[in-house]
Amino acid sequence: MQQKLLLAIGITATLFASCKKDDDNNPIIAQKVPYTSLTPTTSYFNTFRGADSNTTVDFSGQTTRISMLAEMDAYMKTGINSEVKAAQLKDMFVHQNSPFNAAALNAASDKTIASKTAASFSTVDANAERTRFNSWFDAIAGASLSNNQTAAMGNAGLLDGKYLVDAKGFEYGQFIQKGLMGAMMLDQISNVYLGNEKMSADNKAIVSGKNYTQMEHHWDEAYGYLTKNDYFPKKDRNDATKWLESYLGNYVRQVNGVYGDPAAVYMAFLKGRAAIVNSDMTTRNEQISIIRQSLEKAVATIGISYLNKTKTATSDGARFHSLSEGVGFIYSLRFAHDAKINKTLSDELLNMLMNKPNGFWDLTNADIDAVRNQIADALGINREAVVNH
Amino acid sequence: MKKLLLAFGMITVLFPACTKKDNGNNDNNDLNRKNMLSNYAENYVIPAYANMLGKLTELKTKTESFTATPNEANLDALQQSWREAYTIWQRTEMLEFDPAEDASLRMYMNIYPVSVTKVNSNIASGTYNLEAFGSTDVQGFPALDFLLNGLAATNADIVGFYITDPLAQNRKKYLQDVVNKMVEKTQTVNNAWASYKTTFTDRTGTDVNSSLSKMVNAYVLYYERYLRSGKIGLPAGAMTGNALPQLTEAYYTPSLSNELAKTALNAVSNFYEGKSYDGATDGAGIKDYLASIGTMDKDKLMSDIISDEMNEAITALNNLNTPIKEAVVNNRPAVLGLYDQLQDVVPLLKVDMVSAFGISITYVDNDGD
Repeated sequence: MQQKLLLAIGITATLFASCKKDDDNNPIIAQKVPYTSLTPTTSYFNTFRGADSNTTVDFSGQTTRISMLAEMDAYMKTGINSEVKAAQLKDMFVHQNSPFNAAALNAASDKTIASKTAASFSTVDANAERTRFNSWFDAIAGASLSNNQTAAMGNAGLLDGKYLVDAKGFEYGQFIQKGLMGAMMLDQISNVYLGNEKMSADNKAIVSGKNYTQMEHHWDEAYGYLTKNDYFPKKDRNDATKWLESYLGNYVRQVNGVYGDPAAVYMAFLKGRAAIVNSDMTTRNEQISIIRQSLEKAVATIGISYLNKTKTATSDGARFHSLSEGVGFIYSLRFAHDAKINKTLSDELLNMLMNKPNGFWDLTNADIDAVRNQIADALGINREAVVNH
Repeated sequence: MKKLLLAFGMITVLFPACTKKDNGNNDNNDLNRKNMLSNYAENYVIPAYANMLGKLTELKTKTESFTATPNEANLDALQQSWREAYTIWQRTEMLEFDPAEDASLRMYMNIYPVSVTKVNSNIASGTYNLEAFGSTDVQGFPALDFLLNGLAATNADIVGFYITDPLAQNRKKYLQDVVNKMVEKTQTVNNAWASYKTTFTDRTGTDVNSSLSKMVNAYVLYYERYLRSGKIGLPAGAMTGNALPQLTEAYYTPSLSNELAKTALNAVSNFYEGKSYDGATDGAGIKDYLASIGTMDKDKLMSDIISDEMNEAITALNNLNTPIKEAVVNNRPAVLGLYDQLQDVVPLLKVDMVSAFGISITYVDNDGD
């Protein structure tokens, strides 16, 4: 008797459930942040407020690390005029010996780029990637000793008076800068902060002394690697031709039109954050997928675009600059979540571009096309993709 | 008046969907673009590559005769064929989009100055890969200029490099390899266009991969970097303050440099107008499309302003009577004046025309980041 009753209830419940369809995910609890209220220019900061009515969004640690990268980048760019010291770059990488110009960065002694480089990889693999960056630091330092010469096949120096390359035409500054967009920013967003571990954090208790839950905070830390702005992508109010995005965010911003939609990436960040506030994990997980896939596709599209741009390059300098940027992004692809161009494939593609005796000088269009096609086909992107940089 | 404007503004705000009315207009623009693209493909691009290939095939025949029997008569014939092909190339080089871009045709045809050191070392070693990026400055018309005109002061002495010189055999092979590569690449592009034509004329949009965007980008890039800067600005040192005559196109044949520049500038102008490759007919061109959009500056159609500025540049170039290589040293102010005339066209094409077309310049490769 009891069993039959239970069965009946079960059937009824099933019938009801099947009637509710999408509403399954949004149970009777009202959405604290209604999804329909979110638009591409909704302020990320103002939308999420704590009991104290202050914003619950805080990602100063991410902004700090991006500023560290910016200083490293600026220092590498001095290599066209003066010697770049590998030791200085390594100090900046691991944050030792107060290497930064900004006192605030030196004061942030618990923040380093190195610890957030390939952090989702196994210790052995992460170590290999950090070693790779160290070898690139040595290489740019070596090339900078020839900055008074014009580079040529077999000789390091400057091309077009502004691109510092080694004897193989490699512009290490680009490998490092673009490489860290993947190894740090993309990895931290897609694998670390939106990964299972961080996304399993508590979402009920308010963190002691703060106004957010741990899960909310992790989500914001992911966002902080994309942009420091209140929405994304954001233009300069004083100059509509300029954008306020930098590094990874600035490239994701460029991938629009037929190749992607930066606003969709932002909407996923907003909606996912709202879903956390709403305790709606299904919606949150959908947004995680959107973010991961969009970022992987954006990085791949940019890589393909740079490879294609070698064909319209008007000088060896422009060609190798474009190729070097492409190499940085192809390297970065391994840091996408469940990467379609994983470490093994990415290394293979890099070898195709870098392993000839004279490096880039020995490459042909056919070599470039082979690499490009493999990436384009793996991700379902038009082989001819060109993005406005 | 103000009230009227305000009312108008409000209506616009209230009916943002009004923009949809443009649909009819868009269809017209699509049609205009399709006509224009067909005109360019059928009446300019395809005949251009066919003609280029013909000239290069001749060049190849003359090269074979010369290397089989190196003498002054065969050298004369080969030099003449080189001059003709180089001149025809000036009407082709601006077409570096789609098949030509895929093949990086320019890279195998006309990167100058030629690196004499590298050419000589290639000849001496006999090992080289003309496909590689490191070989852009050792081949094409500029390398032929050195090999056919630059080895010695007289043709009698030049012929000696192909008979008595210890590296004569290697040099003959190198000469042939360079010519063969030019034929091979042009053949590829010529063949590709046969099947590419439909793709080209069907891509009628204005997005970054539309034919309009690709063609206009290639055209403006060519005008800016290769015509204005390459032929005049760099040798004149327009940006650096010092003349660099060694950067002149056809450096070893100074009598040809001005002819090449004139042919190129006339080709740019004819292409703009929509003229056929043989110049016999005037079809739907960039100019007509711009005129149909109706962009004005003051009381004048932008499309006409561009024509006028191009014509002024043509006149200035025609007035330059000494070879560019000498003029940049002996009469630099005149060359800088010419450069300014050429420069006047750049913002009109690159800013006014491009924005009227609703496309963007994609070739900014020196982004410095």
